[in-house]
Amino acid sequence: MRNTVRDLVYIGVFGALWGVVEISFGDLLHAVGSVPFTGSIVATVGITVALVGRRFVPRRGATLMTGVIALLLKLLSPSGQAIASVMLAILAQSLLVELGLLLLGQNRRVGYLLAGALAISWNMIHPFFSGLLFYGREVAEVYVSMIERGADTLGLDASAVWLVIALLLLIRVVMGVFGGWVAWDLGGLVQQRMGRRGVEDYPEELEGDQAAQ
Amino acid sequence: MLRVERRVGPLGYLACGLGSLVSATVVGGWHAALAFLLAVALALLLYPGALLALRRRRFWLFTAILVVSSGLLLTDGGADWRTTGMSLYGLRVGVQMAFRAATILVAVSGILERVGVAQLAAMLERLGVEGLGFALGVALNSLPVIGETARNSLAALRLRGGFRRERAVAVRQLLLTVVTNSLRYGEQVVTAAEARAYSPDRAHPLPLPWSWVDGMLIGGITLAVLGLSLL
Repeated sequence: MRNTVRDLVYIGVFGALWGVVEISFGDLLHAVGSVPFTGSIVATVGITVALVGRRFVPRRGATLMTGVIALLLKLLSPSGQAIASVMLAILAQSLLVELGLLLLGQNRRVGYLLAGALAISWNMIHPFFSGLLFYGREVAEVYVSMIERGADTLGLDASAVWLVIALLLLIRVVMGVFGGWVAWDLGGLVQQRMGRRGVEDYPEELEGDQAAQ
Repeated sequence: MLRVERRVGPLGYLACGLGSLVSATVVGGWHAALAFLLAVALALLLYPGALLALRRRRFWLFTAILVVSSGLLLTDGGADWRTTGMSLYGLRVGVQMAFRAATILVAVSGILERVGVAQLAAMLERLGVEGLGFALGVALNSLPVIGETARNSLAALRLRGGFRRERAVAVRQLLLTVVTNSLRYGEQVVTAAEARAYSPDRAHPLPLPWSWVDGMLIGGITLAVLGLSLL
């Protein structure tokens, strides 16, 4: 199914909104530096915007394209941050949103919650993934060894360290679910203000989702 | 040298950057140093600004920690945290990882320095992401509108005391206003595009400059990467 002019315009607008979140809000929070979970907070706002956009263009691949626009705009970022790493994260998060919506449907709140949770969980995996890409597979050995040695030094069982990692992952899942919840509500409100243009204008997507469920 | 640089198009720069990336990932052991030399040579020739990326303190700090950690934690038999003192094997692996990381950093910085946003969009469009150029144009043009809407809405909310109480509601109102006004701008763009009979089906992808120098670079880089991987 090809995108219409309206779809492309909405994808552009929501890509710009996501890009603005990454460039302004993201750079500001990273510059402050002392805020915990900075990356996850920025990603939650960005994913919320992208998911609101999905209510307006409920086509498969629309969020991925929105993410591509956002990452291209990130190139314009004036800060000296690791832009390539952020771009990789945006791409991975948009793919995970697509996966979440594919699994549970894009016309139900639960699909948005899963999509948000999956996307923000990436922030937990991202440093390890980019480390593997950047430094090679040997870095995994160093990480595992560091965890084991750190746990040993602190007198903890290695499984306690994994418990901490699981807790950090859970925090991100909760943030993602919150983002998905807000996006569903906010999308509905914006649709009301705009005069109800949304899922009902895409009967073929609705049928596809109903068949999948 | 400068004359050649002027003739290189985005595909040539992309080939050089990708060539360095591939060479960093396929070569093993000390050949990572050769991949780094190739990346530096290409950067000196075509995108010297990319070498500035190597001045990032954060990168060197993290890399130094990694090299020292490898020396402390890795031995010939893999990871062994019981090792005391530095292991030569671990240090060697750490330095090789540093070469790989520095190569990737220079290559990615080179691509980002020389290949513009529009050119990247043109390449992606040719790879099958239809309408990306148009959507990117809309995004770039809507940036000032989003900025102005956000500033105005923030000022209006502040004047009404929106952030003194119920901050969450104020933030929601701000988001709602910015998104709605951005979409209203989007509707104007839709009307204008449809009035001009624009259709994504008939649109041509963004132009992508190409010259014989790009072809030579692509061929040369392919040979260099092949040579490195066969070493």
